[in-house]
Amino acid sequence: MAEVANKERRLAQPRILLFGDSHAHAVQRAIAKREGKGQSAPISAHSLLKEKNGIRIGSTSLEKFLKLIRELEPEDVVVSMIGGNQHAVYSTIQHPQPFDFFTPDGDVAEEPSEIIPYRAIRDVFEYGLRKGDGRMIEDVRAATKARVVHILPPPPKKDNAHIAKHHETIFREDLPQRGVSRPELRLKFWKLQSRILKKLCKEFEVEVMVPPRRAVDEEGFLRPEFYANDATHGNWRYGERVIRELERRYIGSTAEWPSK
Amino acid sequence: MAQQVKKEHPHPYKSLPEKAFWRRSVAGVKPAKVDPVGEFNVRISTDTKVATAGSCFAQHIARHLKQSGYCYYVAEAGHPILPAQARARQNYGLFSCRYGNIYTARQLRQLIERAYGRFDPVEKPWKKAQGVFLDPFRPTSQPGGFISAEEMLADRSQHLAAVRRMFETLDVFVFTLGLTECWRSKEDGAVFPVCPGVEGGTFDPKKYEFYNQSVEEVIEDLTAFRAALSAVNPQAQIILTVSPVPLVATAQPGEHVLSATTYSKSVLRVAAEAMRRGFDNVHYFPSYEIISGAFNRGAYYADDLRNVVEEGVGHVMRLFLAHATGGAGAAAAEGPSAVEEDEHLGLARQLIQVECDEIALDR
Repeated sequence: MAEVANKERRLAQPRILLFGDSHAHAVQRAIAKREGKGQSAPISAHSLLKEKNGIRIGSTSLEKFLKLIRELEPEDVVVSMIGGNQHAVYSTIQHPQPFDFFTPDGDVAEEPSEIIPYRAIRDVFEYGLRKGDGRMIEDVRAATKARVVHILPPPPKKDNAHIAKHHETIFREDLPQRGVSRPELRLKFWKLQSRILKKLCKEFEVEVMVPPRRAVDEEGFLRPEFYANDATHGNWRYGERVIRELERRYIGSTAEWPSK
Repeated sequence: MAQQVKKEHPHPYKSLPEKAFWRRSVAGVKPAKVDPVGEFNVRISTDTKVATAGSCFAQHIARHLKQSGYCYYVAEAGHPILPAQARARQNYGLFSCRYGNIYTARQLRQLIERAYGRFDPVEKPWKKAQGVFLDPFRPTSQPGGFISAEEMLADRSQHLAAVRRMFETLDVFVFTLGLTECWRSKEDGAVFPVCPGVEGGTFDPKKYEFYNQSVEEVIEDLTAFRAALSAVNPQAQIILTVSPVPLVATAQPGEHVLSATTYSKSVLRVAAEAMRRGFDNVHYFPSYEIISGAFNRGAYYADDLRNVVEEGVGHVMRLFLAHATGGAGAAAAEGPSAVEEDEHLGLARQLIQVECDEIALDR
């Protein structure tokens, strides 16, 4: 009987469990918005539980999430929004010794910045991602029979004034003094991170989902209407776009929900 | 007629120091105590900027200087946003600039000429594979190669600027002469550290030729280099050493590699001596003698009879520091911490982390 019930459920729609760090918050907010309007979202979103200075942040520990996804079936979907802000660490605040790099996409380094060879910076990034986010994504993959998809982080914001305005108060003195990096450098770092994540995901047999097309402008930056009030994150509208894309890919439908 | 008494002079060997005698300073001394340093008037302190270049043996000198607390001068250190260990993996700090091994006197001379724009070789970047380009004049410096010819040329330009900075601001330049044999372009005489086709490029006998330097040519190259360095840095002191590492192979027609090694090292040793005698700011340090001298009965060579074991390098550097510092020594420098991070990157990481925590707290 239980087998029949499971089969029926599977024919209806797969279970979708999402797990991530700060970028998952946009999706959690979008789900809350839907629920506030009496609409449902076919996704259960979990954010990584951490404790800092006695404050608990997030909802679910990695161990607990791994336990949750162990019982999923191959038709179900696990969505990873793990990590994703390494590119911002390297490219948000202007370094006192300006630097730039060439990329395999044909981007050139801007004078008079110090050139860092692409393979040198890639080496550092790949090492960091492999032992950080990569390890967690690999753990998720190993824990379940379900499909696993990793969503690349939202691309950088082009608007330097927005970043300068919406930064953490404890950095009030540092940011104006050092300045915000050039948007092109931020985009290069995001592309670098995406390239490495794609490589790692291929290695781990994890699917990759790029940021929703409508949230990205023609140059590759995040469109301003999807900005959260900070330097790097997307807002609930961005989260809504992610949900719609997941629905399109794995359920075959999209909820009726305005983009703005 | 009174008979004149001839005053007897002692023969010259009577007044010579112990080091002038084989039995007293070589055969009759424990191997670890043998000190073949002759005249060596360079003095370094912890403030003296000591730059290094040369064949692979020069890497040992650089490594020991770094560890010994003296100022191993690195003019091309790599951007600080790369952690120290990552920079080391990318060959920053292996020598004072990222020029890789400089085996011949001609290569050194051409380096300073290229750095100051007096020589612009016609050789184009070597394409090893799709997206892998090498600098023909330092083909192993960038692990995995450069992603494009443009990146390689931009990095070379930055590298040569660092080379100029190094030559203009160093106090002591230690150069280890490695080889007389090299390969050069038939078109403009540019010499390569490795034969085209080995690490990259394609060997073409119409374009490249074997070239084995004579002692006169090595002296001429070193003299030209010394003049160029003195022109930009009149106070610079030069220490020449000869690498004790034998040739891995010889391309001299009909020659045996052992004889070819003896020829190369002999030429380099003679040239170094000629330079020392000819110029007040050129000095010789006997690394070659310490490692290859019969007194150690080959103990300073590894099983391959080429590479030098750490004990031998230790002997060389112990004597080098003892003579160059007047025995003062220096406190051992602390190596880079495994967790060392650029101050700026640490701040940026903190900013992004705080922002990520705040958004998760539903600010």
